[in-house]
Amino acid sequence: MSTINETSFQENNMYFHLAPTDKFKTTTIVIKIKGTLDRDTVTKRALLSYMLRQGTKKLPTVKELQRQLADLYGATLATHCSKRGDNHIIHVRLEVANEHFIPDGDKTIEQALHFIRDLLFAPYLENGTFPQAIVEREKETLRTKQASTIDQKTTYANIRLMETMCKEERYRIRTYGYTDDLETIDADTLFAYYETMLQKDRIDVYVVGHFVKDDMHSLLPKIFSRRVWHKEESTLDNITQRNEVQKVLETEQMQQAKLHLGYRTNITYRDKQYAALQIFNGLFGGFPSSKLFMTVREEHSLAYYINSQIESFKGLLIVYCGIDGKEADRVIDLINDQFVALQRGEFSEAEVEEIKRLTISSIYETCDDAEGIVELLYGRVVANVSISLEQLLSNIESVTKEDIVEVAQAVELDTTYLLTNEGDAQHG
Amino acid sequence: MDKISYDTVDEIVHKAMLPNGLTVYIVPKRNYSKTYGVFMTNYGSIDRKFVPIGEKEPIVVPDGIAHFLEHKLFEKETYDVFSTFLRQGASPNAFTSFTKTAYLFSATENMTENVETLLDFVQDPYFSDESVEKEKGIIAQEIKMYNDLPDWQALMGTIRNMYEKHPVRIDIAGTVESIGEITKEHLYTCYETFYHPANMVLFVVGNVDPEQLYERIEQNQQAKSFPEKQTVKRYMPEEREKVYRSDVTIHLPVQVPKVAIGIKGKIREQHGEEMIREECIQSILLDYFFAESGLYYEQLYAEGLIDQSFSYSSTVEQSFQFALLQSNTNNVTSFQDRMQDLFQQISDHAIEESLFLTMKRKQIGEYIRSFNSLEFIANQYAQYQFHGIDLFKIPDIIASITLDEVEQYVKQWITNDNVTVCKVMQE
Repeated sequence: MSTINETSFQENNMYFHLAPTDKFKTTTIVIKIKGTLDRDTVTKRALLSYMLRQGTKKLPTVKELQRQLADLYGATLATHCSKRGDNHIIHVRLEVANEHFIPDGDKTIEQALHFIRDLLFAPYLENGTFPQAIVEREKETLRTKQASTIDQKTTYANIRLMETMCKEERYRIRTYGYTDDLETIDADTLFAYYETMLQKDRIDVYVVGHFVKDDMHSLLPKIFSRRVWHKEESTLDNITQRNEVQKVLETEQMQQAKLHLGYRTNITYRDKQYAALQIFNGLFGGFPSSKLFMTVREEHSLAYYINSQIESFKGLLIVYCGIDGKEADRVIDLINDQFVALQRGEFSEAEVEEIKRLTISSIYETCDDAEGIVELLYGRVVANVSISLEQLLSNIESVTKEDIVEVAQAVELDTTYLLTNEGDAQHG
Repeated sequence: MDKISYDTVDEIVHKAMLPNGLTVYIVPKRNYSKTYGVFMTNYGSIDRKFVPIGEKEPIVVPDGIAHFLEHKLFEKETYDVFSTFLRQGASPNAFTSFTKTAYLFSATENMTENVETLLDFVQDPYFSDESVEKEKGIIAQEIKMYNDLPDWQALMGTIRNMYEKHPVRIDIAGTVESIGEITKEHLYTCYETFYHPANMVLFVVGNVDPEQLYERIEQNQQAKSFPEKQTVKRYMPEEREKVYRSDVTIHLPVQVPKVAIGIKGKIREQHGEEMIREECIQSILLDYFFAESGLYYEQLYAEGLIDQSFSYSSTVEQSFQFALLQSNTNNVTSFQDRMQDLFQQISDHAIEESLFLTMKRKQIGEYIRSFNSLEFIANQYAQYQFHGIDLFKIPDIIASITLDEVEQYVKQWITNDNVTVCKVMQE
């Protein structure tokens, strides 16, 4: 069973991470740009994630850029944004076939590294700023993306749960920003923020795939460099204290209602109880053998899907399911029953062992995927801890039933959110 | 087991056929932690009219039954399939498509036991009236979930426009009404007809020893008895070459309208390399015209007719085949008009050789990248082998496609009556 052989180092005001492996037929390069999740900058950051794939000084248009990628045997470029705790992260990923699959491919990875470097540090400019027409077009793309959020009901319900549950906290902020902001953004203001971002954000570069570690170690700092990094200390956000569970009901025209429950775990990746929280989540709703699936779906036929998931950096746990809106109260009762049973320790040692093995197995499976490897490694950066993967796995091994009960008792239901059809709107 | 080596893609496949007709493939991947196994039958949602095993007259079964059967095979009288897999450290799952049903697991330990559990649960059906009734509530929720997904509605709307009679126009899960008619007798009939080992394939890829695993599979199958293998007689209605309807609007409460365009392909009853060759040629052409690196994307994007949601695909099956292009758009009419203009130019377009070569490289590279995924390898290899297609040879096939072939193909690709549009928008 192999995990990850990682080498990390800091140079030129950036961080580099190497994970050489022969598993894959491609090499994956990922750049992560991490800033504070902030209402004033989020829309610009979302827009920048689109601008960073529009062109470089050498390849000014999308067509030229994409044609070079196609010629590199279908290399793929993807950019997106995410939020992890109170951080907003822009991801740029380039995946390129290993050199021996490409005729005359001995310089492919180096070419790819220069390519992704240029996307971030040498974008195509006109008169020293982003081309206005491109900015306007990308604003339109972002506007459509924001508007269509509501058409994906599961995503939308999750966004609305966070907005209502974390109303007074940073975490309420939408990853792809706000349509109202777009009016105030033009090429100059966007470019100014881009320069600020390059000075303030933490930048990490990951390379996963087939290469010689020492060669890559000396190559990366020659390609990637920035003059300054004005590191900002992050401040801890206040967490809303609630005396009783908040109930939110919203309606849309839809056939299947979405019921999402938000819990505060008060435990993050940094905490020593994190491993026990993972096992708690596994018992509760993380797997098809979990209490929620077995009860709500298998026993009562009330849902096709029901899961729980933890947000490791903010300290939340979300249960989500698709149900008949009229059954919402019944489903909430069933979920509560299962939750309380776990708090009372009504589960066996055998179940605990099973969930531990499944959790460990899913971490090993994540290591069979290059992007999975990057996400696993980057979790430590976001949490600002230096725990090794082996340590993480051994923490899971040593979780006891008592640890789980203790965690379960610390987890609190904060908000229930129901998105349902108008006719079915009755949420106790 | 026979050992097949593929130099271009650096893969090795072990293959054997058991006396009961089951074909077994094993692909060892020693540097992966995971093993992925899939047990697949050549039976999907379109197989609604057929002669049941041991009978003479064809019957028509309720829509959605292949998918219903997939759900119900997890039900056992004396044990729980999910729990058994999970106890062995594996995550099980299953899916049903228009033409296939597959049962699968992934695991990082107890590979042999998990492969045996996979074979055992699929080969030991147990259906009761009570549990069939209970499943209807769960599947009704699944159907409603799909009804709320605008992309899925656009896809199905386009298929219904293309096909007048072919059962590909019916939703894989059926409707709440059609699944209401399903009984345990229907399930047994479909099971006996389509789950004979000779109609199935077992594909295992990952951290396994092929010879050792194969021995256990052999023992497992020898211990069970199956009827003589028979070819299943299936009926597909005659379908015209032209589309059934050229335009339809589906009303859903979406904020951003969606448009899908289908190009209905000719049915050629082809097999093996011919079939995949056509799919690859179509994929190259879609890239040539509509990829971000292709001829038309930049213009369509700059004009605000498409956005980043724009996507396209090529589907070639034995009894249906089509290309599909889909996007969110705020300019439904302009998008439709513009695409019609472009489609008229395509037939007379002289293919540029250098761009054609670029797109061939892109296609080859995309296949090579997909081979990082054990799930992709298993699912695609298993599906394709039913049609005599070898997944790992596809990059070589793409490399062999000539400019002349593509020029011939593009001339007859799009006609006056094989294109259809489906719009999903608010009332």
